[in-house]
Parts: sequence; structure tokens; C-alpha cells
Amino acid sequence: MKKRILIIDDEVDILMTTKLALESHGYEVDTAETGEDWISKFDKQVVDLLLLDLRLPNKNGFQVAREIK
Amino acid sequence: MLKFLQGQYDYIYFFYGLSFLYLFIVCFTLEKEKLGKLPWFSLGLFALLHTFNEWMEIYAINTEVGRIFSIAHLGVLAGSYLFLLEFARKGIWRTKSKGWWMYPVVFLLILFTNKQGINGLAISLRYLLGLPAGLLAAFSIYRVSNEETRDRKVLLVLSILMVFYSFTSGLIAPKSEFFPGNWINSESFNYTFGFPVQLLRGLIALFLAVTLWYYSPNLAGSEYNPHKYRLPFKPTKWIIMFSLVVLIGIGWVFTNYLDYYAGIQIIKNTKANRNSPLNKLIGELTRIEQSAYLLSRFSAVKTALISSKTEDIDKALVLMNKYRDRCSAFDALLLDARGRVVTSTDWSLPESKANKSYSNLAYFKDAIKGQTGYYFVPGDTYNERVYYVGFPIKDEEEKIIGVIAFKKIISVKPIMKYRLISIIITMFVCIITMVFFVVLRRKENLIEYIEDAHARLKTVDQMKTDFISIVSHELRTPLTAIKNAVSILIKKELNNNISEENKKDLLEIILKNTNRQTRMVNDLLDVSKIEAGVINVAMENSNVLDIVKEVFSSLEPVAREKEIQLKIICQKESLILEHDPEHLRRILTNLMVNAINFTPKNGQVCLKIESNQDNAIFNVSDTGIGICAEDQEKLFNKFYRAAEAKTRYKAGTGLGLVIAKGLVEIQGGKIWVESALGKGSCFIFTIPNKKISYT
Repeated sequence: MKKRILIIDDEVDILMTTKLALESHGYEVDTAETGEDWISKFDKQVVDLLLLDLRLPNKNGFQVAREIK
Repeated sequence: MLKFLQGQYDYIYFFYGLSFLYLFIVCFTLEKEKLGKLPWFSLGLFALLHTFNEWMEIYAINTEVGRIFSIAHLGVLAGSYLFLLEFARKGIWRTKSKGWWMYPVVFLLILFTNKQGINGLAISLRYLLGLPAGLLAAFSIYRVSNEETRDRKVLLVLSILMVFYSFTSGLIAPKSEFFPGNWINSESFNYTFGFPVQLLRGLIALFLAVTLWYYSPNLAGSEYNPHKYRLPFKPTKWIIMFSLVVLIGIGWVFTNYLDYYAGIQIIKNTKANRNSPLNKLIGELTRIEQSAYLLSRFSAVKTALISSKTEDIDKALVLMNKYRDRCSAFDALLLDARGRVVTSTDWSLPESKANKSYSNLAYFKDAIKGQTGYYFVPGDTYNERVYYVGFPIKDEEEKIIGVIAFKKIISVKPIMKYRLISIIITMFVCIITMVFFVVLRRKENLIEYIEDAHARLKTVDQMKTDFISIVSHELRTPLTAIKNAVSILIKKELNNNISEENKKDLLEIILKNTNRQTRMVNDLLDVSKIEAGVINVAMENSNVLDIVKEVFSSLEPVAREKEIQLKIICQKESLILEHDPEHLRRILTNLMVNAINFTPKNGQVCLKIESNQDNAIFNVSDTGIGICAEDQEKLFNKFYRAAEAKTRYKAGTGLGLVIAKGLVEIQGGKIWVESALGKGSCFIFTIPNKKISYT
């Protein structure tokens, strides 16, 4: 089974390029632009790795990480 | 005159001089700070010389002074008025050379009108130099008050005070025999109001100084302080102010105590010493009484009273002069039974007053009853203490037909010497307190200023730190995206795993972020140009609607993509306006792009152009998310982006509005925002034009 990686970043272009790079390495990649976005979309899904930007609108990276935990 | 002011002329002069010294110090500090449009330094020198003038007067009251002293005294008075004239001249013409003709005019006027020599000069100076100089000074302050909007009231108050001063100083002069000195003078003022005019002048000077003092920080604001700088309340200032009042009070009590003490000492000495001042005085007064008695026996005097022929009166006057000199009296007066002056040795007694009745005076009342009348004036209407003796003149039938009166100015210099010493001590203490007061205030002012500057520098420093962190973030983000995309494309093993479509996406990302980076760098350059004030403006008269149409057509695709409707509302076909087309295009683009970006699908962005007499008004409104009041304030700050903006719109640099603001202001316009959260925003800017024309 492919490992799942979640990327949260508010810069769409960085999100896109990172996603493509990781996918080409053979991972399954989920993306979200904000913490809330991911929580509402992919609730209860388990991820193996979380790439989280610290500077996010509304809630910063630490707050999002605490909620996801 | 008010009882407690009797015999206090010297102290009143001390207060008078002290007020002017205060005015001098205030003016001096004003000049030091290079304030305002008026030459305060000249006013300060006027005040300083006036202080000397008044304090010389104290010396003249309390000791014997010579002719040289009197001339010097006069010179100081003239000098002080000349500085007042200089203040007025500089205030009216604002240049160094214009208006100099006033000096020879005044000089010639005084030269030709003065007929009394040195004595008359003191009075002419007041009428012909003091009065006009004061009024001109008031006028010059008033004129400046019309130019200044902020300090207008203060300057108006100052000019009104100056008018008061010029009347009290220039019009209410010492008594003289010509108009208007015979009609309005310091004596008549004292009779009417019950206090000496010198006290009023001192109070006016004090008000002038206090007004200048308390508003000087505001006056300062107009020249070198961009923000109005006012000192906060400081108790130390008031304590010193209060202690000054207490000091003046203590000085007064002390002076009068010394006066009293010296009197007692003199009385004690009297018994032992024949030459003691009191014994001398008693001798002098006795001689005056004897002279009055002798004069009342002369038939020539009696004849003068009965016949009232000019030659008889002249004979009597010769006798009166002789006896006056013999007993060293100041003046001799011959009054008839009704108290009218028949003749007098007083040259300054004007013709108009020759028939004035003296019947209500105490010494006359006693004398007409057949007794010897005495009357002592303890420094009432004059600076001096005066003693009057009235003696009845009887005819052959023992009927009282008139009164012969002697006026003696009592020399109490030995007592006065003590007063002088006390006043000089008080003077020094007061001067030291005042100087301390000023130094302290200046120090406080400086500390306040430095603290304020420090706080402002701190904010600027914080802003710079924020700026650098934001700039580096904004510049790095597109670089990261480009780097990521390029590294995927360049590595074969990664390259093979992704589709052709994705490759195209990556190339587009590279292009987009390169553009973003370029835009960012350009914006930064523009902002720094705007901040440094080196941005070029090429104003031209052309139709702004052409530019508006250009901007609209360039934004049309973006708007269509977001399904946003663009609208122009303008009543006119064309609007010719003096503006910089490049700048206007930039402003409109920035505002419109913002509006489009913050408006959700199916919204509307509307540009309304209106114009009135002074301005063309551009109003960019949208149906977007709106801006809360807190953010509205910071919106035009560098890199400021509202929280909502960060969430929904990522590509902004946070510089668009800063640039728009700079470009609007450089064309002389204003920009502001009206908005409420959730109700859309409205950015309004104006471009001023003197010659708006429509077709």
C-alpha cells in the first residue's frame, strides 16, 4: 500500500509542485490550503506524514497540528 | 487710591519691571526656537529695556538721582520704545530694509513738537513713539493672526493685549500742560480707578507673557514640529510659578517691615541727635509753616486776593516764589475763599485748571475755618510723599478772604534706602527663580521631545524588521515554486512519472511565479521611489475616460473568468483633467484588481466618476467581502493585508494600495476607503483640477 502524505500550504503553486514531485516518487498525496479545509474535507483519514506550513491564514501551523492530532 | 497701595509705588514698579522681565525671557526662548513669523526677539529687547526703565524708576523714587541718571533713564525708555517699533516694522514688512522711514519721521515729530526740554521729552516719547509703536505692533500681530489658522485665537488675544498696553503706556502718561496730558494722565487715572496705571501695565505685560508662554509649544508646532507638540501637565512648573507669587508677597511684607523698622530707629535717634533726619524734617516743616504765616500777613497778598488785578497777582507771586525758595518747599498756592486757585508757582498747573476749586481738600477746609490745615499724602497720586500746609489770610476786619498753601515733598530717603535694599534682594531671588523656571521648562521640553522621538524611532525600527521579514517571505515563495517545478522537470526519474499535461502545468507555474516575482520587485521599487519622493510626474491635460476604458478592457478577461460584471458610471462623454495618465492607469488598475479579487462569483465591480468644482472623484465599489474598521486604518500601510485577504486571495503583494496612495497624493489628491465587513468596499480617490471642462 502506498504511503499517504498530507501537505497543507496556502501557496497553491508550492502545493502543486510539491504534490507532483512526491507523486512522481510514488506516494499518495493529499493537499489542503488551510487547516480547516483539510479537517472538513478529509476528516478521520489517517496520514503517514504531514507537511505543514507554519504561516497559514487564520490558524497557524501549530494550532492546526494540535487539532489534527 | 486703594489703602494698601499707598506709599507702595516702588514695589509696584518692581512688579511692573518683573512682568516685563518675564516677557523678555519668554520672547527670548521663542526666538531661540525660531518660532513663528513675528520677530519676537525685538519684543524681548523692548521688554528687557522696559524692565531696566521701571527698575531705574525705583532707584529714582528711593534715592537722590542726578541729571545724568535722568537722561540715561530717558534714553532707556526711548530705546525700549524703539525696539517695540522695530518689532512692529519687522512684523508688518517682514524684511530688514523696508519701513525704515518710520524712525526719522518719529524723530522729527518729537523734535518739533517738544517744547519742554528734557521734562517734556519723557511725555512726548510716550505720545509720539510709545503709542504708535504699540498700536503698530498690535496691528502686525493681528495681520499674522489672519494668516495662521491654528494659532489664530492666541495671536488675536496677544494683539488685543498689545492695544491695551499701548493705550495704558502711550496715552496715560505723566501729567502735562498740553493736550491730552492735561485731560487724561496717570494722576487722573489714579483718581478714577483707585490704583496706579503702572500696576495695570505690569498686569498687561504679565498676561502677554503668560499667553505667549503657554502657547509657545503650539507656535513651535507651526515651524519645526510636524505634529503639534504640547507639553503635558507637570506639577513642578506650577510649584515654581506659585513660589514666585509667594516670593513677591514675602518681598512686599519684608519691604514694608523694613520701612516701619527704619522709621522706629529714626525716632529713637531723634532724641539723641539733632541732625537726625526726623529732627531735620521737623525743622523743615516748621519753616514752611512760618513762611505760610508770614505770607498770609503780607498786604501784597491780601491786595491780590481782593483786587484780583494781574499786576497785583504778579506781585504776590514774586513774594510766594521768594518764600517758597526760602523754606525749600516745592510749590506755593494762593486760593480764594471759595477754594479757587488765584495764582501758583507750579508751572505745570494748566491754565484750564487755574480756576479749579480746591475747596474739598482737607488743608483748605481747615484753613478756611481759621486753623492751620495740614495734609499728608503718603505716596498717593505721586511717587513721592507730600506734605501740605494751608494758612488762612485775613483782611483788616479779621474776615478770612483766602488761603495760602505750601506743598512740600518730604524727603524720606533714609527710610526709602531700606525699602530699596529689600526690593533689590527680592529682585535677585525672583530673577533666579524665574531663570530656574525657564531652564527647567526647557529641559522638560527637551526630555519630552527626546522620549517622543525615541518612541517614534522604535516604531519605525519595528516596521523595518517586519518589512524585511515580509519581503523575504514574499520573494521566496515564488522562488520556491519555480525551484520545485524546475527540479521536477530536470530530473529524468521524476520526469518520466508525470503526464504531459502536468508538465505543461509546471511550465505555467514557472511563468506565473516569474511574473509574480517581477511584479513584486517593480512594486517594491515604486514604493521606495514614492517614499523617497523621487517619482516622476508628467501632468497633462487629457480625457481621463480614455484611460478608464483602457483599464477596463485589460481587466475584462480576468473579470469574465470570475464571472464578475464590470460597470462604469459617468454622466459625461469626456472629462478633461490635468493628471499623469501613467499614474492614473496604475491607480485604477490596482484598485480594480483588488476589487475583482475580493469579490465572489457573480458579483459586480463598479467605477463611478463624478466631478465638482475642485475635484474629479473616482469611486471604485465592489460587492465583495468588505473590510472591517480596524483593518481600514492600516490598509494603506506597507504590506498590510487584512486577514480575509490572506485567506481568499494569495497573490497580493500588500503594496498595491500603498502605491495607489502615493500616486494619488503626488497628483494632489486624496484617497480613502468606506466599507463594512460583508457589505462590499468602496475606494474613493480624488484628483484636483482648477480647470475641469466637459464636452
